[in-house]
Amino acid sequence: MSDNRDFEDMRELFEKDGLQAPESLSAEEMKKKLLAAGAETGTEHATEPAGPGKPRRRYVWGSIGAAAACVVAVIVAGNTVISPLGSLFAGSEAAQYGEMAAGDASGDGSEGAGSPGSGSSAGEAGAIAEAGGTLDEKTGMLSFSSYAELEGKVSQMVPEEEEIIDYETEVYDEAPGLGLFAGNGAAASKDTEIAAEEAPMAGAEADAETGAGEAVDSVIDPSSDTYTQVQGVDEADIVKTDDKYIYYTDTYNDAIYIIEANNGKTKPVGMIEARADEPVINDFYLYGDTLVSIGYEWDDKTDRELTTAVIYDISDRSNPVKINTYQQSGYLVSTRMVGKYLYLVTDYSFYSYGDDRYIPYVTGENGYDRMDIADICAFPDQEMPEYIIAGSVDVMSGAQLKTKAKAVLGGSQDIYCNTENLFVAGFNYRYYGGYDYYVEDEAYLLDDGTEISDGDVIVESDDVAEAETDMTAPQQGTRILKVSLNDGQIRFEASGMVEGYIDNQFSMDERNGYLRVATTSSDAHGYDINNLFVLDENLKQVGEVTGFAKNEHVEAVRYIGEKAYVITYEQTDPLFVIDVSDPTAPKIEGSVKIDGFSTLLVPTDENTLFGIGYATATTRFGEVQEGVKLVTFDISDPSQPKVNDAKEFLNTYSEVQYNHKALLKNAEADYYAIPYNQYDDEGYYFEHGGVLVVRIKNGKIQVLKDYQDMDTTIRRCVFIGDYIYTIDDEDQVGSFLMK
Amino acid sequence: MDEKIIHLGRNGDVDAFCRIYEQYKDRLYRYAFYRLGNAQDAEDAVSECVLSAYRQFGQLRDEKAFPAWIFKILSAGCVKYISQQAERRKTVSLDAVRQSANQTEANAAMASASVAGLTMQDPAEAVTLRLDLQRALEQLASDEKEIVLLSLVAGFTSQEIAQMTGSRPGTVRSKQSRSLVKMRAYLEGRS
Repeated sequence: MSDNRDFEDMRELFEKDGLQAPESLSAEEMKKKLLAAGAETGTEHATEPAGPGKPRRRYVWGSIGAAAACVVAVIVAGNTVISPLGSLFAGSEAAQYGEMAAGDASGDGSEGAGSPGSGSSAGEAGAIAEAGGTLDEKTGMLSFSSYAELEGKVSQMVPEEEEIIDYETEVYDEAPGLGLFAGNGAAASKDTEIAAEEAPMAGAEADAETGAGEAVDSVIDPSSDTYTQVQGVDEADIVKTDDKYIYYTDTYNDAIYIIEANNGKTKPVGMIEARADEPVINDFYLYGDTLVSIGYEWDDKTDRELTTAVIYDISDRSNPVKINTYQQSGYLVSTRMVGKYLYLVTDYSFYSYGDDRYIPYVTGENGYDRMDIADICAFPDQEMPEYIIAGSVDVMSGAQLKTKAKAVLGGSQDIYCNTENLFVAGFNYRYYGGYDYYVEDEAYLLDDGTEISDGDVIVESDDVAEAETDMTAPQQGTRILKVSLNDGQIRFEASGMVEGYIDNQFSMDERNGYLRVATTSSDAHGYDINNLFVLDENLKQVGEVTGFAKNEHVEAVRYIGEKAYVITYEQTDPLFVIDVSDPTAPKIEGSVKIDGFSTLLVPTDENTLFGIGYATATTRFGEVQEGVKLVTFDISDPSQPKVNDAKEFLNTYSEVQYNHKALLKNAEADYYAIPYNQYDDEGYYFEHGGVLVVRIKNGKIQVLKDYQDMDTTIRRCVFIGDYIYTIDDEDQVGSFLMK
Repeated sequence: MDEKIIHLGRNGDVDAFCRIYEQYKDRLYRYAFYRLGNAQDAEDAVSECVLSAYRQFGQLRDEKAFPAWIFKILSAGCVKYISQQAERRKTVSLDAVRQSANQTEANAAMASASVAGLTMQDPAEAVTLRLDLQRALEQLASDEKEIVLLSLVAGFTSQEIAQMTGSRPGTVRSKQSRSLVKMRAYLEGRS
């Protein structure tokens, strides 16, 4: 990673700036200020835990950003919409929103008492009349008959613009994402499925079997495709190629170069440029003679961030022509392409509803405009002011763009997409390590005068008992939204909840209507544990394996048929083989321990799993990462997986370790190419960039070539015919023969 | 109950709080300085952040969580200043144009001192460097800037930043590496 070199250089620079906090910010001065202001720590705390259930509110708001600051805003906004998240984990049943216990009508937030079926959130009964929203039992979502009704709902989340009264409420501004694009930018691409009537790309391949993941072998293709999770579902990337041309974004994200490649020689042909007033190019797709760049920009008119897809006709490579632009509110979470349909998932946060900022905008029939109210819904318990927006674009629809979009008030972090369904996983911020409602180490008094201290279990008092349960209950959950694609016809089908958080898109896989999800969560004592859940087509949990690999967390998952392969990391770095053939009773069949851990698992033949990840060493400070490690697992006997071969490359780092799209696979020539950066023995100075080409044969790792570039980092490599082309950090293209 | 906790807050925790704050004050200030681009706003933002954090200090269970926690408060607080700055630029720009003609040199000097975070002891090259770094940071989108500052100035790992920002480590790393490339290109272009 060139970033290591840049990182160290830049950090040194910052260290030389000699900047220090002025005297007015010294601890002594601040202490004076604090005492003078009469500030009291824990004042909110003092008033909060008194009422039954109230601590929960704090948890939720505290977790999204700035703790008590948010509480103030909640009060400003009037009705709170905080739901009894605790009940989500009471059992798999409760994980369905439609079944969530609703709080009592008094609005005091008391939890779990439950009038099931109302589906609305705790304390909301009074508000529901004005907030409105009709609950769909199947999807567990509220729909709205008018913008006014929607506004009633969002008004519980954020203050009206004019009502932003002080610093505390401003926390909303950025709390949901701190202004970051949480999106992975987009994804990679490969093996695009193309509708038969338009099949513009040679060598493209379809794998209609939902959830098949990567097949063990790929179709023969004269040029490379982006390495993707699911065959037939393309992922966007910064470099793409077809049989003749290589397309790549420049490092400034404002251009895509098109070069012609011929037997190792290259020549510039054309370029697409994003001018100053145009969106930054994040990555892009290639679909025959159509190129779709995915980017983002700030829209002053509607005062929001937009994700954009710009469609170009590149029939004439030397003169790309812009055909159309699609815009969708929110920052980019991820995109996919299935055939000619582009799917975009964005996360749109808003922090006031005074104007129409609470309404997402997308490009529809009337151009870029507010979404139809019929396309907007909400998870009843959603308390963060943000939407998941899922949009589709028929990239071949020309001047009159064919699009569809749906939005739901909810959060999103990553997506998994096969040819039929798209799943959006959103971490539910219920707990951010650090807050709690009672003072540890200090005894304090309950309302009734009982003195308690940390560790005491008070059964007489509901609120404290609950607080105690909070400590031991699972504290994090991931909500999953199922979206059916059906040739661009976006539909929200179901939603469900699993305990813990996912690692990345590979954590999820659908097969025969069942979604399998691997997560990491915390046990009663705060240790990481790992789980695999199986959800049915309505995202109701039907099976689980929980609590394995204590004190480890998931680093890589791959599903192949009815088996899940899970790598966890921290102490012993094992590979687990989990049989998921019976959805109601997934079980661990076998495991093997190995030093170092893989972050990407690639099936190479029916008996072999190729792992790419980190070499580690144990020091007195614990385990440290010290380079790239390649490993092959013999998985022919699922009850006894074995490490077949392993190779370490010390002080070497590769983007493949955290981004599968950097991996190049050539099925025909039977090799994998891994761009890397080599550092010196100290792991400090950049020595050279390079590409490691390996073949996995009979479970053994053969290094076919170690191509070195002395000057710079290689971002990606692609192949056309017998040549591998490298695209480096300085936007230069190199090549070498790989026969 | 109320009394007891308030009591603790007044006499016990203020020292504990300031003791921990002391370790982070420079990093907080430096973060705010580069995020907001001038010393005055940075000082105000940190000051407000400290007040706000102190009020919530009772909820902090684990001292280890302090840095991530207080930086999140500061980051959120900076947003107010950023929008105020934007507002100032919009509304005051006309006035500023009119006034700039008769603006005193002292005012100008003060303004630039604030931008550079200047104090009497600073060597000239450090001040130049600050300005260069600020301009290099201006090349970045706001999310990129946030990541760079959280990692380079505040010292968080990409894992921690991902957690703080609701993002993923891979995303943070890739954004950071691109940001650094941009900054390097800008700085090299200048030297």
